[in-house]
Amino acid sequence: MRISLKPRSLALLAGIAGMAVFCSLQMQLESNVTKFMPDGGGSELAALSRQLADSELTRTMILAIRGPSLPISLEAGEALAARLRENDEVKWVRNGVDPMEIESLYELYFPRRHYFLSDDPEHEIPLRLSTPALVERARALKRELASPGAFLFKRIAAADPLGAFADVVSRVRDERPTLRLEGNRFVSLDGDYAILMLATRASAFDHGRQVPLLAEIRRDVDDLSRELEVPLTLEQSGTNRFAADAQSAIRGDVYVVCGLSFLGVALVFMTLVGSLRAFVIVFLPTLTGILVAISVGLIFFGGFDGLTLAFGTVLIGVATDYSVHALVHHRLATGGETASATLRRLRPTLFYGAITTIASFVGLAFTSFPAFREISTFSIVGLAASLATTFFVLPELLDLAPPLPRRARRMAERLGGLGHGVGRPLLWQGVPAALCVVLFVFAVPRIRWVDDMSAWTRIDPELLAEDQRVRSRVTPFDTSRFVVVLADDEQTAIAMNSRVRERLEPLLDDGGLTGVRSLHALLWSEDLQRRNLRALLAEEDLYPRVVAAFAKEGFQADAFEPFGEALASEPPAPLTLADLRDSSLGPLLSSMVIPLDRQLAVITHLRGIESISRVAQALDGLEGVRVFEQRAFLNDVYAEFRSTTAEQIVVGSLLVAAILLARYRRLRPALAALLPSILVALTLIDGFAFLGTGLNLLHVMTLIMVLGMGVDYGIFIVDTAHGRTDFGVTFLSLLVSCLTTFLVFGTLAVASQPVLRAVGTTAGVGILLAFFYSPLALLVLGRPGEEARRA
Amino acid sequence: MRLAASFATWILAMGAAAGADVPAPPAVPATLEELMGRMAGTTGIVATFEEHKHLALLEEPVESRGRLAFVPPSCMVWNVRSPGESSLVIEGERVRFRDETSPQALDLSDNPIARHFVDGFMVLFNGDLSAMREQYALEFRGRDDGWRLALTPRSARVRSVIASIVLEGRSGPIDRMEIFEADGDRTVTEFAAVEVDHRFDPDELRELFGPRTSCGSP
Repeated sequence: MRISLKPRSLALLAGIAGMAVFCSLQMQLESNVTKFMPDGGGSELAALSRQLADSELTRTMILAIRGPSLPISLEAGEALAARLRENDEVKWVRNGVDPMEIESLYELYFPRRHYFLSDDPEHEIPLRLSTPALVERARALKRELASPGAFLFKRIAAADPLGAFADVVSRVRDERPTLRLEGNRFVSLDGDYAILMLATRASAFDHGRQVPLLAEIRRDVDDLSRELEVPLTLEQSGTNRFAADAQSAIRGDVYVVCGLSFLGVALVFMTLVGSLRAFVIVFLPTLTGILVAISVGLIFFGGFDGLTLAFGTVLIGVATDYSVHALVHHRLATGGETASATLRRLRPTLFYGAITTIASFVGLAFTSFPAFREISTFSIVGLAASLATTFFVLPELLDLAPPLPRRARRMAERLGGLGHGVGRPLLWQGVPAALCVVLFVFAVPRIRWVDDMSAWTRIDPELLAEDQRVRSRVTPFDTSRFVVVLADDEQTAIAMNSRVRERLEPLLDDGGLTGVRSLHALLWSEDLQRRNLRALLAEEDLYPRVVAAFAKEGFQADAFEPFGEALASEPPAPLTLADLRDSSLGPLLSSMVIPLDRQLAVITHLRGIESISRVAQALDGLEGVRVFEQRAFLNDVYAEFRSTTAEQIVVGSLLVAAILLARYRRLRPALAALLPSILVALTLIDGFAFLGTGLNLLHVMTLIMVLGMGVDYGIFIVDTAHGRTDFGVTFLSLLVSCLTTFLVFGTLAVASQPVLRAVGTTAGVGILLAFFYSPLALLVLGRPGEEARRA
Repeated sequence: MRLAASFATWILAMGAAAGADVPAPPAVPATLEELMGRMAGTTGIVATFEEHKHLALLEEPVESRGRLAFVPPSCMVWNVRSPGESSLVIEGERVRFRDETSPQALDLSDNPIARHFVDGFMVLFNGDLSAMREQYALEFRGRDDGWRLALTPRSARVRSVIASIVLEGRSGPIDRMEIFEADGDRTVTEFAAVEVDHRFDPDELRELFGPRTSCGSP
């Protein structure tokens, strides 16, 4: 058969091809968890949480490499570090203590050593400078000079008899990760593995860049194993591994589901519509909508999150129902109605179907979650484009679709009789519906919400075990629980952070914590620094007293002239955050100081937390200081958002009801159109509640989509089911829509990822229910009775 | 690694402890080659030492006493027991300093100053004459009453810290070491109770170097 396409169709096909090329070239899929965190005017903690999720904390990996012996492990670790330093995707690699760090420490702190004498200078410095304390200090220095490490102390003793610089070094050392060092190279606590730490340039959730990097690391180790001719074991820890694994699993699920659903949809079309060409035609408006939405998204957002794309596509998929509806009505219309005439006839129905669908999820566009705003924008743009294509191009294309098989017409007739029960009160829909309404009262208290985002994806237990093994070898700090100081200015934040460190000291002493990493080890507020110097210089005759006390222990009288000169000379400016950032110690700050939009966050990392409530108790009363449990915080945020979204369903339903009332100007048809979706919501909630299924935000999100489709079904019935025949045709189109939707999304219920299962179960069951309840619209309309009377 | 081996062999070669009454002590080596040639095959060395540091900071030299243990080929502990307890532990490339004030050992492996000191010792104790010549200008003098070896670092960087090292012995192992620092300070170490061919048992090795040490392994 020769197919001749009209200009609009040709333009559409050219447009589809062009957009497909554009999208395939520009498409950047990411899995960015930060988009699922609130932004904008939300709390500073939310901003902090979002920034942390994509900070160097999540971009850092720990690699543990083991050979037949520790020297070989270290050699392999060194070689791997060298290779990784050449990798453009790797920002930095550390496999030991950098000698530059020590030099930098000296250069920064030695001239400022008298700024860092005490946390409590007014009280402690006078004690430290008392004659007995100075004599004791002289004895200690003498012991140090007698030790084999004398060269360490001798160099600075003349200028620093008080040992101020040694205190700084000691603080920095004490707060380092508890890794073992072998020749200044990091070694696991068990002494078996060489340890490397690296930060990636890309976000941990950037699947496109993390997957190749992870593969390269594995390849590098394999190459080294061959070069060194020894077996090497590599174990890794990093957020990127979980993100990559989850995305790969989701992709795998999607591929399987796509394959299965495509076959199923093709089967449905072959059975009910009798043509795959018809399938292609009805799918074109949806495809156009999806491509337009992606193109717009790429132009304005630059890329997409995987979940945004998945949800958005699902929502745009609703548009397929419109073209199926048009196809079935056109092909089963009596009197040789043209496709254009059919579309004209159906235009208000399809328009209001789309408008009500958009209304049900437009609320998402106003949330503080970037991902949901993206989903909303994506879907609205896609639905609008699909609808426009349905109205303006589909009429030309429908003429290319072959006639429906006879069995379709027969089925429509049967369905007409079945649904239009000629006076029967639709018992087998009405009774379950009534039951669901009653059960809903009992279901509400049984609803169980699971707001833990970590439950959205299934974590590979082997990956998790490996991650925990690696972490236990280096005992790093807790990445999800820490203390945060939020302050409007740098100095307040630093000062408060020092108080945090002070309050945590008792917990460190009694084992409530096994370690902390605090900015306090590196930096004190300018005020505290100046108070130290003031307290030191306030001591009368300090220099002669020091000389005298040390002379008692056998030190030369003129040995400490450099110290005297330092006291007499103009002091350097106190150390600032900027000084630290500009030094080779700068990288240490990235996980401790996080500038927010209006505030500065200073983080104290904790290790070996015995009880988080004890930590909170210890910090009680400190202004702007909070113990931050990221998971609990996000769970709260999601619980709140889920609750808001659930409320939005009610608001959205009211908006939809208002649109329907505005359209029909009578309560009965408006209620008839709305009824199927209301019943779907109630039945699903009943089902989840009584089956004990834990509900999360994604169930609620998918419910929005299903409700949108339920309203469409209601509108189709109310608008086009004027008699038994019309009802049969409409019902057939709904059956095709329902089965295709079910096959596309319902198959997600077998996916391995909980996130997809939640979508699949809600969408699959929901859409079947929408179809099942749709005839009840007629009951509300009262048409069966009228027709029965007419008959 | 070689450091320990050389040191051990070297000390061994220096002969048995002075005053040993068994075999006659070997003659004083007449040449450096002969001295170094005697450094071979030791199983381990222990000795006590007494050290006097003449420092510009102090009126009087600071004294310390302790024990030295060398496990070939690359491990050594320089343990000061008085005043106070402190140690420099060398295991191959790894150098750690431990004292009473901190529970955690200070890793000095990459500390440039520590490295100068350690490398100096290591090359010396290694007994590798060619490596020693590469790093030091050597001046050897053998007499009837003993021998004297003066080492001057060739590297200006090393010389900025250590001006020279003088080792002295009679027919036996090293008796005295004197380190002249660039700033004028000087350290004199006198060894006694030198036990060559000491066989370290595993417990002793663990005590010296820690439970997971590979020192003393073949």
